[in-house]
Amino acid sequence: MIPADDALSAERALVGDRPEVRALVAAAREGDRAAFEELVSLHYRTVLRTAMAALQRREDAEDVTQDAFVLAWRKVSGFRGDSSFKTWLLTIVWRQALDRRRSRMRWWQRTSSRSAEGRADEPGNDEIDRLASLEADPERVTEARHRVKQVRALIAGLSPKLRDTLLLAASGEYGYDEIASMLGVPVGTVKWRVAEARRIIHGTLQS
Amino acid sequence: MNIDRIAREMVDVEPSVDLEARIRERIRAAGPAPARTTAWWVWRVATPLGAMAAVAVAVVQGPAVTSQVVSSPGPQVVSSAGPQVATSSGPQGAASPVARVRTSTLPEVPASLLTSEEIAWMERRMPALDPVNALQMDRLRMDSIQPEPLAITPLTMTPVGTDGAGIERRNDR
Repeated sequence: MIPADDALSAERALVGDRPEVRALVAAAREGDRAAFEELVSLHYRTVLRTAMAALQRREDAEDVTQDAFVLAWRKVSGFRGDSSFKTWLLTIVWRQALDRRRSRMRWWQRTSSRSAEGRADEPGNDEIDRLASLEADPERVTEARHRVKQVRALIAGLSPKLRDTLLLAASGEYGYDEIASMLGVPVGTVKWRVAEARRIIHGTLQS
Repeated sequence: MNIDRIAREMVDVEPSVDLEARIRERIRAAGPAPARTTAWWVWRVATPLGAMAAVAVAVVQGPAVTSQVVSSPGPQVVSSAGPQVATSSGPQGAASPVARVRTSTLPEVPASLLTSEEIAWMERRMPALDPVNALQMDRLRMDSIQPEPLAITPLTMTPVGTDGAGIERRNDR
């Protein structure tokens, strides 16, 4: 039974969520673990991709995903609903991911160099091979693979603010307003960062 | 070269097959979610408001109790302790303004329609819980602080001398 004021808050809060999500969030706020686990099922892939945008390493991203859900479970009773549940959840995971990234800065530098070299177990290499195989001309195949690796290296070499924003926007999981909420910046700043990241990469490739 | 597509590939990973199970296990290990707590700012706002409300009630109730004790002995005390419905239909016309304030906010329901539990509940009501209408408070009565008229008794002086001979003698010196 939700008190009247809390019910009103939840109704206001969950604008943007689907009705079934609203019901699950309302139950989770009352301590219903099963309802929260349903929310886990609905969102864990998105949460993982968000963590990947910051960490770019699956193992770290999965650790952060688990930590973020545990933290969300502990805080869900205080969820006031100033945003949708998804945005609230992604804000939590994003902060967790940034904490992890800061604590592993040295590891990040190693990863950047590896991404330039290319590794068979990194995500995306399968896609590179697939794109390359579509090209009939061996020279064009080589050129395409080289370009893909080059762009990946350029993205990895962007400043964290530009890289994070570009990866979040390019993932297709979030709108600009959600990214702005996660990053704590205006929507216009998000758009500018995405455009600036693209401009830098294009400029480097053309030069 | 599609930058967005390559950027998407960098984050578009498939989760491990057991990731969801691991998350559920971590949540179960974390125990029940903490009970909903009131935000700190609610306490910071509610505490002063509560104190102000208590002071306001005390200020409003203070003179009322005094006037009740002074001006309406006997039946008024009974009216606040007994069934309110019964007293509202009683001789309230002669009651003090305080008693009118308290009884006027009560629903006028015949006592016969109330159950014994309801009557018992109403008897247990605390007078302080009744809503207070500040606009119906007693007016300040100035006569109560008017001083008594001064009763001046004319002074009677007894003359020191009756003939005045001594004065003349001193002037002659």
